[in-house]
Amino acid sequence: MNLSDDIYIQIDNLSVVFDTKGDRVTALENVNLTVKKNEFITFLGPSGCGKTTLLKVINGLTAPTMGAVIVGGEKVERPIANCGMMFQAPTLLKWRKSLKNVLLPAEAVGIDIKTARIRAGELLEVVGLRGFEDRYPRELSGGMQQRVSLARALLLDPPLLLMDEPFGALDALTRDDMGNELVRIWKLNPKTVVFVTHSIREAIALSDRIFVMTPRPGKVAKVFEVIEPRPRDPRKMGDKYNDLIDEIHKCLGGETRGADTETMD
Amino acid sequence: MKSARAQNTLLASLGFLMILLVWQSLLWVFDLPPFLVPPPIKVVTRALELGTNWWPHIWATVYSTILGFIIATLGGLSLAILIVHSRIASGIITPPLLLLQIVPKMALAPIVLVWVGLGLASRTIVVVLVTFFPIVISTITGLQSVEPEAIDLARSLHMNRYSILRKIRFPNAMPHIFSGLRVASTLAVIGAIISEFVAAQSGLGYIILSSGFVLDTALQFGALALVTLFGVVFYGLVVLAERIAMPWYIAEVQHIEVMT
Repeated sequence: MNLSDDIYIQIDNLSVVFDTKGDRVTALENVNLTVKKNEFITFLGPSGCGKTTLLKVINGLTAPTMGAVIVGGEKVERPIANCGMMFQAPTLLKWRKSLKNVLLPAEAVGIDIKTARIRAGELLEVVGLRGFEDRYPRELSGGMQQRVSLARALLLDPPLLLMDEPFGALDALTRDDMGNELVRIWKLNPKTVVFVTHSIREAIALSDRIFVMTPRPGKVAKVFEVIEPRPRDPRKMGDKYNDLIDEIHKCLGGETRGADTETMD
Repeated sequence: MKSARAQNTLLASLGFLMILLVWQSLLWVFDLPPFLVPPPIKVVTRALELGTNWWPHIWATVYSTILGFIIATLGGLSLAILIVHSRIASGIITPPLLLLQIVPKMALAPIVLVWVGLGLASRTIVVVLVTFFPIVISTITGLQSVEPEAIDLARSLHMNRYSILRKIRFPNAMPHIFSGLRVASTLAVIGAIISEFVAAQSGLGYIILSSGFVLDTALQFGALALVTLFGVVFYGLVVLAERIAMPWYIAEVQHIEVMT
């Protein structure tokens, strides 16, 4: 098997510098990485380490200052359409019911709405929202809104999912639930997933590889591989789990441990 | 719930009844001449005397109010969309717009009279001047208050500016637009009345002014009551339109009502 066929995202010498009112801020410096097809990876790091910027560069919403990003064999030069996006906020359209929210990508791309409607209904069922098709977002809990958002990201069955702290605003229990749900859906229908988080536990629970990032300037400090089968249970992983947490902590430096004990523990 | 509503209606009626009582008793206590402050019953009888002669006056006021309001709404929405979508247009239009907003629009009524003369046109123009700015400003605010993520999402879906406006910005702006329209609806009635003070031979404002010259205060009060009634109905229509246009928003408002 040719190795390069297996690579879905390739990032070469990527730097991003923001020029705001004469202040030059290096958001990302010399990032090099590759992501395999259908791999689930996490960018893990504290606020300001450039993980969201990295996601936006992969998506084509932010242009690189130097270097290049190649997704699916093509250089990214404008927003790429064949990816599903999720943000920390559900970003649902308040005036649309669940089903119509899920349908937004179909309308934008201009595919047959009838077929899309059937698929949207199926997806709402997959994310556990059967019977909530006709609810407005404000009639749903935060977790349910993120489920709608997930269904929307999956509508066009994109080969790539970009997720920017999608469960960061949810309570701890719902967050674990959503993580398990995501893994279940990803196993049913594998895609390349790039997941941004500042929770070490979440990164370990979800990803094949964890790219630990450090700020000022944002760069990838170290990559950890997690080979444990999913769903991952910290109790069954035993010492390996704690060792991994300790190592990642060390990599992030003491600063983050104090700054965000809630999620960085 | 039903009994609570009935109770509210009862209490409100009681409030209005008390106003009438206080009004009447003040007349008795201070022995005010009826041409200065007419007793409530005289307002009603005087108003009924006019009968169908009210219609052309009511119609004149209603017509210029609604026509001006519609023109201001269409113009205001268009201008706001232009300003939000074009940096150049925004740069040119916004500073004079902000300045014009401060000009007391009522003071323009006599100038409009000089330029356009007596009639429907000048009255409608005054209504437009009064209602235009709150609509423009609230629409601009609404169109700009979109979550940046929603725009990111739209861009990654390759939506163009027109479909972003149609599917995201505009519906997102609707609550702001309607709060502007509510304000504008009350201002529109005021504008129509002022314009009739300055430049009219018909309308409820014209009646208030002209019957004042002959100290027919009962008729003034009657016309005032009709203007107020129209104001309430017009505002109610805007609220109704809001409920129909934004079923997703109204439940939110009802929720707050239950809470308080």
